[in-house]
Amino acid sequence: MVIHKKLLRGSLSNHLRFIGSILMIAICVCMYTSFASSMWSLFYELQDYRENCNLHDYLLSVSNEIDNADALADQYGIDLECRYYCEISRDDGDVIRLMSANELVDRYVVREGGDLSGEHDLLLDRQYAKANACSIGSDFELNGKTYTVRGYYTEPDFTLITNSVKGISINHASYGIAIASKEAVSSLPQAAVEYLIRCRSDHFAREDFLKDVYASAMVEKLIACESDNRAAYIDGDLKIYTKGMQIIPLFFLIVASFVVALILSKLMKAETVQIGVLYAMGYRPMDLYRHYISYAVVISVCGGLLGIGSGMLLAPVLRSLVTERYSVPPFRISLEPGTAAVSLLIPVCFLVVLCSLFMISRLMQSPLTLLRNQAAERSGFSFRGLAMKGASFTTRFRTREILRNAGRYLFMVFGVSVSAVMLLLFAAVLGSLNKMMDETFSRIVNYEYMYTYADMTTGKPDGYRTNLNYLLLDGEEISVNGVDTHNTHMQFEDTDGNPVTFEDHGITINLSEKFDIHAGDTVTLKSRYTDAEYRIHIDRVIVSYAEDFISMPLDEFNTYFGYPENSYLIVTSDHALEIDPELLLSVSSRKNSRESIDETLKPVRYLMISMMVMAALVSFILMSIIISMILEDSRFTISMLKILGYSDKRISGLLIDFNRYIVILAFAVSIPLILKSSSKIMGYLSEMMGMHIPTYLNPLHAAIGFAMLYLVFIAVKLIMKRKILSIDPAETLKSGE
Amino acid sequence: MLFEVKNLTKNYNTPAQKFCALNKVNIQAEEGEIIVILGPSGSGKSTFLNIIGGLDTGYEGDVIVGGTNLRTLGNAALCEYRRRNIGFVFQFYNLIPNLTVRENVEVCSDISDKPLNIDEVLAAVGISDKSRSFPKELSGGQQQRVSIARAVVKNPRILLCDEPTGALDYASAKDTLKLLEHVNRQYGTTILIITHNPAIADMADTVITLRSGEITSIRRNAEKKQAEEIEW
Repeated sequence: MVIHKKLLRGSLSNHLRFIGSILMIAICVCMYTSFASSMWSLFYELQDYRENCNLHDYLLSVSNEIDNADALADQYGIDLECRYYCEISRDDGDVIRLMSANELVDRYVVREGGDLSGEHDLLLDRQYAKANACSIGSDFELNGKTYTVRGYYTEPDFTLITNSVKGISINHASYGIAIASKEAVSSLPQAAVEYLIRCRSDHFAREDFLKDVYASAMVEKLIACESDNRAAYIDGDLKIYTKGMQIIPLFFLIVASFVVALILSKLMKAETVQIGVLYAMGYRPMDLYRHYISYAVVISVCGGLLGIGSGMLLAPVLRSLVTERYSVPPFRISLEPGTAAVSLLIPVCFLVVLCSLFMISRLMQSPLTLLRNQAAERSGFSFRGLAMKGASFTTRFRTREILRNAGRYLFMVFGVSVSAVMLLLFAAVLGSLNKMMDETFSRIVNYEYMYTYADMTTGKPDGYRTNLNYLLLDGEEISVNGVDTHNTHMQFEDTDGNPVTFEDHGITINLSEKFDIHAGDTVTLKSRYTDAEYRIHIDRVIVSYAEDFISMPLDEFNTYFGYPENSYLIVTSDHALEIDPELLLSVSSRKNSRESIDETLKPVRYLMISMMVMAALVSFILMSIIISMILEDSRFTISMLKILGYSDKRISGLLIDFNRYIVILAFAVSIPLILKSSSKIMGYLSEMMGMHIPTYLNPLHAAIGFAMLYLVFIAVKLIMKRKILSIDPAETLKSGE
Repeated sequence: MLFEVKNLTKNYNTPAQKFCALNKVNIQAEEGEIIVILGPSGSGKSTFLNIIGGLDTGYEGDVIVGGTNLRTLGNAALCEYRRRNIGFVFQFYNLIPNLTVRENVEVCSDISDKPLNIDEVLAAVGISDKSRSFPKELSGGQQQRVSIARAVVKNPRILLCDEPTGALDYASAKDTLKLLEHVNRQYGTTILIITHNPAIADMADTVITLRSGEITSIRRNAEKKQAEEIEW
């Protein structure tokens, strides 16, 4: 039908509005598509990678090799492979975890270069190699021995390269992993042994297996793969990203759809008489509905397609963020049909539904009402009962403006409030992470070096000692720490803010909340390998952000668990200690820890800052469009005021300046919302990241958030003032608007 | 008989006042006539036109057009009635600004069961050479020609003209009247014109005068004038 030409010409004549609408939809779809396609591609490729490389189900740390490993593997229907490993400090202070190459479980994949062929060959993880310029074929000094770097590799149990199963911090420049032949690693004096278990079926008699192992070797730890951050932390991140990709673009999409629907309603309002004419000529309401809804469909489809295209261009950037952090194969990004369908359908559905509501309300009018252009007047607020005796002209004018545009102003309050909530939420996450870092490294951690021995040792070193035992609490393995009572290297506080000494028994806040244990309770812990039960009375709840444990005095710990007097596994010191490296499993320094946690949190910080900017951008678009629409509707009033001699400044004061109160109101509305929601969100993040993150909204960040919103308003005000200036009263009066 | 109006009464009830726009109006009209309704502002002539056009409802009395009583029709049926029977010519043309002259005419031809040839209609209203122009490129008189072509192309039984010369200068107004006369002759379309201008009454077959919602006179022109001969 020829009427559809109106669509194209209308779009061309209002090209700025149409391009703006399409871009808004495109930005939202782009965010969704880029996240979805990169994350789902990673998800599926990761599954294949884990399956192909036979990722372990359990990691078993033992004191020595198991004598009858093959027989146990057959008996319990598992793949069982022994791996030797040790952490070696290099001369430059870097630490390399050297492991024996696996053939059965957690098989490695060479990504670049060649495979291992001799005892002096080594494969390095690509991230460490790149950070330290270790090229393929170069020599690599380790433990006084020279290896040749044959290539770069990945293995599925080390997607996050960190030094412990609970670690989250990464610093590719100072910590790396490498593999060499089994013979080469097993011959190292400090090599420890662990077993990788892959279950062939769902029925693995784990406890029986452990008891059988216990007969020939001391079991130190059995860690399920999902509890091993090095293998499974990426899943949590993927979960956060996939949740984020659903919520954040959806929020922006809802706002964008509202804005586009407002623009379309404005267009329909401008064409009210035309609609009336077509209706009078005999066009059916459904014909007109189809015509006008096609604007929404065209905008959403164009925006959707543009968003999908740009999303696919952006996806490799997101992929590089993932591959920077995680050691994963270079996965291929593909657009799933489901992702493409959702990317297109969500904006189409949102826009069609919202625009339909606007259109139906207009098409419900009689053709005569439309022809006389009375629809807007009818839907306006009745001022009859509003006398406002004694109020100044300015107050009366502004009040009537607000009431006349009540719907729009309510939408603006809603939209700006949601933007403010997002802004403050991101500020709260930023503030909480910063507080956690400051608390941890300025107050809690007071040592410079931490040495972890490969085997339990005894004595009184120049530092504070900690001994460890892993026990089951409600079936979950937790760490019980024996700590030197006078230890000042870790200065925790309890939940009341009092300093914690290690003379009594404490539990960290994360465990306290998780298992509902409070000061005064007694916990019962079980050994995984024997029938022994241990009961510990809890005196305090300790506020710890990154670690979870139950603490007790070292001497009491050693006596209670039957360890030799003065035995320990970890020693902390404020200066470097002379310890034979062959006795050590790992060494870490406060500086390195801080840098690596900073490195870990860097992408989160950037993400939060970019989201704050996005939220400010949304409020800018929203305020601009609504105030612009109100000014468009007030052209005649503005012209009359100009003719009567009002200055542009005074007109701007009457029509724009009071919007500052709307910004303040919207910000005020957002504060209780943020206080309600931030603790839940921080709880969710804490669970995902495996640490306790305090909920803390820095007043400075809140002030910056408000300043950002207010600056947005000032920018909008300046732009709108130019719009007022551009209105020519003679033209407006001539056009009879 | 093309239409018959019996005891037509239309009241507007607003919170401020009750207003009677038409009071027991009775009119009959034959097919192919030109009918002019004269009257000052507020006399009820636009209300009458809107009711005949199926735009206004909620009245008392009967309006029977081609044997159908409009009072019994719902919104959808009234829409079909307008589509098949009525062409509108408005005082301010109401053309669609982003469609060309030809496309503005095509908008109506698209929804008609028995449309006239668009080129013929454009030629008949003397606007063929402007068929690719947009409304803003035309003078008022030319826009009114397009408006008439748009209404005529549907081949309606009744052409309703609301002050068709009200916004035009003398020459353009006269051209428009000649065009309406031509349409009436060539296509046999019944034309109902409402106007303030008493001179236009001279070209009508029937002249109805309204005042305050009531008919003050109905007269048939024994010797109706050609539009060319009318002066004001």
